Parts: sequence; structure tokens; C-alpha cells
Amino acid sequence: MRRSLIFLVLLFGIVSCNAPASKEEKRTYKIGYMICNSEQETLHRFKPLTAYLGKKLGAHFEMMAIDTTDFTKQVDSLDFTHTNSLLYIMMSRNQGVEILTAEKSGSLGARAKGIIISLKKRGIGNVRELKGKSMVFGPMLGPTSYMAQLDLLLKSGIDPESDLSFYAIPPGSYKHEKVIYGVLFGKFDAGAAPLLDFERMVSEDRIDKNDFTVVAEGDPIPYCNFAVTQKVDDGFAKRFKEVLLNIKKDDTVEIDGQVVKVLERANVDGYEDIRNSDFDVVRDMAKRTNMPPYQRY
Amino acid sequence: MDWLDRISIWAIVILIISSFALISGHVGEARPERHLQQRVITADHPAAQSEMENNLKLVKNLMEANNLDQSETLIKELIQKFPYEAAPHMLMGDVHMRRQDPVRAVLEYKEAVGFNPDYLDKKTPLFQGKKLKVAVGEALAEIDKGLRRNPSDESLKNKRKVIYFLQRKIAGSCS
Repeated sequence: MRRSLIFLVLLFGIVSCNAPASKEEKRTYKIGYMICNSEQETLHRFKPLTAYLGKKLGAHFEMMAIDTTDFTKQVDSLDFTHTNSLLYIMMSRNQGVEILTAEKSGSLGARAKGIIISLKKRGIGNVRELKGKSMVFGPMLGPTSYMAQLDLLLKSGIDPESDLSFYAIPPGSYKHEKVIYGVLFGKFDAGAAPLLDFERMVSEDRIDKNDFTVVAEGDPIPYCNFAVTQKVDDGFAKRFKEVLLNIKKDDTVEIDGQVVKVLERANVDGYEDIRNSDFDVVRDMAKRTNMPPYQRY
Repeated sequence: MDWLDRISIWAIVILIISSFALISGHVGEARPERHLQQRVITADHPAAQSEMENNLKLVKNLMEANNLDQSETLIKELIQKFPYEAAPHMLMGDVHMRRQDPVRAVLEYKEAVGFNPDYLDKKTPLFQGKKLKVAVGEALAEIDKGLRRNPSDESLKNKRKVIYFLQRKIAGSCS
């Protein structure tokens, strides 16, 4: 009888030993996605990828579409970031964000290039000939829609503030397309666009490549990327990275009752490993063009 | 020894092993209550704390809008008012980084970490270790550049000692 009692007490002890972690609520991780064309487009593209990450990692992810100019204000409330290379170097320096993976898309894979385009009929052959001409740029914090082209202009001795007849940045969403159409319809002599967007519009037959001259091309720099903020556990960040690196073209996830191909919806060819030092080319460009995070006042 | 004795012995062994596993697995873990900010604040009064927090928020907004001079003025006021508070020093470091002066930034970061070591403890929400690591790297590069120009510059050598001190603290922090 006594032995049975001891046995029951011990059994009760074992059964009631729950790990504390199981009592804690599952943490929600926030991923901030930089708005590329529009908020709606960004959420549409990355909703399946976010769900896929949640499924693979057994965690709950919340996605937020954030404007480029607001990103650094909101980064402290995020766990993971998906941004361009300029925003990454800003957050890396000012908020301790660390790189995880680079995104592959288009002919340059995980690299991107900024180009200056003009209509062939305008007869502009090189950057120096842009002096006195009008130009349209993409978003200011776009490394291949503003910074790379500014770098090209400055290297050729053209200061946009004083040497162009005027320049503009289109308002609202889909700025890269607006730049290209702005040049096509003759509103500006030249435009600053990412090579990827130009190629995409050509492949979709929205523009004819033969109408344009590529006046100059910037150096290849890392394309969009995923990074992690300093508050996230290193082990979890590593698992997050591994899931991204292992996503295959045919991987799917169920979203709103539909089975969706994750990469196809995100308009991405895959993810590859990248080091922080690979962004030094962007850092040098930011220093040359007096852009953040190296801006001098 | 009958079957019940054997089961009891096994149960005791399992209980001991699982207790050890649980204890060793959670040693050093932050308790959920540590989500609350562990700040060293001189003023215990809630009104003073709220004033401090509002001002810190304002400084951050000013900094994001590139109003560095105004940020600096406000931070200096806060340092005078709350001399043992870490956060204004951390923000002053941020201002210096944005002014491309990583050496001065690291000196301020060192003050901040001195007042509140949680800035180097990854288990707290205040953790800033990775940001500080970037600043230390840039500051050391800057000092090296200066020392190459003037190898006998004692002021730079003294600053380097402070930077090395912070570097050691970061290397030994819970990150």
C-alpha cells in the first residue's frame, strides 16, 4: 500500500513537470517589407513567402509593408527586414541590423544595376551630353534608381543641382515605371531606372528596347535582401536564413484556399548567401554621393 | 524487490534526470518579467520618467529627420537633468555616428553601457551590441588613420584605450 502511494506520488510529479516554454505564448515575429512599387503589390508578393516561412519555422510571422523613407523609423519594432541594399547599409550602421540572404531576380541574379536611359532619337551618347538636359529619377533611397545614377553623373562632372536644366522624381507608386514612361513619352531627356525594371518592361512588351539608348550603366551592387535586427535570437535567425536558402522553385504554400508557388508570386528566382562585406561597394557609392548613412551636413 | 519497486526506482531516476535537464536548459534565461525595461533612472517619480521618455522619443524623431543640432541640444539638457541615465548618452552616440564621428560616438556609447549594462545583454530588449560593434570597428579604423598621420598623438592613444575597453565588453557580452 505504502509503495503504491510512493509510486503514485512520483508518477504525479513526472506528469506535472511541464517545460516552462510550453506555457509561454508563441512569439510573433514581425517582417518589414520595403514597399517597392505599392503597398498592395508588396503585400501580394510576399504574403505566401511569409506564410511559408511561418510553416517551415513553426513560428507566427506578421508582415508589414513600409515606405522606404519610414523604414529606419520603424526598424526597432521589427525582427526581420526585407529591403534594398542602401537601406540595409543604413540599418546595419545605425541599428545593428545583420545581413542574411540576397534575393536573385533577373539577368544579374543577386546583383542589380542602375542605368541612365534616353530615347535614341534624342541623340544623347554619353553622360557628359546630359549637361543642360532634363532628367527624371526614381525614389531617393533607391540604390539603382537614384544613387547609382547620381554617382555616374558626379563621376562625369555633372552636378544635378546645377548642371541639369531640371530634374524631377515622380510622385506616388510604381516610380520606376513612371520614370521609363516619362522618358518614352518625351517628358524628360533622360531617366534613372533599375536595369531589372527596364528588362522586365521589355520582356512584357510594354516598351520596345530599340526605342532607347542606355547612356550609362552603374556598377553591379547587391539586390534586395533579408536581414535580421539585433534583438532576434541568433539561432532562430540562422534557421530563418536556411529556410530562405533552401526554397525551391516549385515550393508552394496554401494562401486563402489557393495553393501558390512561393517564389513565383514573390517575383524572385531564389535566395543566396551574402556577406556584409559584399555591401562595401554600396557603402563606397553612398560616401561618394553624400548619401545616408555617410551623409555630411 | 517486486515489479512495483522496480517501477518506483525507474520513476525516481527519470524524475532526477528530467529535473537536471530542465534546470540546465533554463539556467541564465531571462524571466518574462525582464521584458520590462531595466533602466537606470535617477528619477523615481513617474512624471519625470514620462518626461524623459517623451523627450527620448522626440530626440529620435528629430534625428530621423536629420535635425542633428536640435537633437544634440535636447540630449545635453537631458544629460544635465538626469546625469545617471544611460539613454541620452546612447542617443548622443547616435548623433555623433550620423555626423561621421565614430570616435566620439564610441566614447558616448561607453558612458551609456557604464550606466546600463543591459545594452550589451541580448536577453534584454535594450540590447544594442551589434550597433556598438559597427561603431567600434569604424572608430578603430579612424584612430588608426589618425595615428598613421601622427604616431605620437597621445589623445588618440587614450581614446583608443576607451574603444578597446568597449570592444572587450562587447566581446564578452551576452550576445
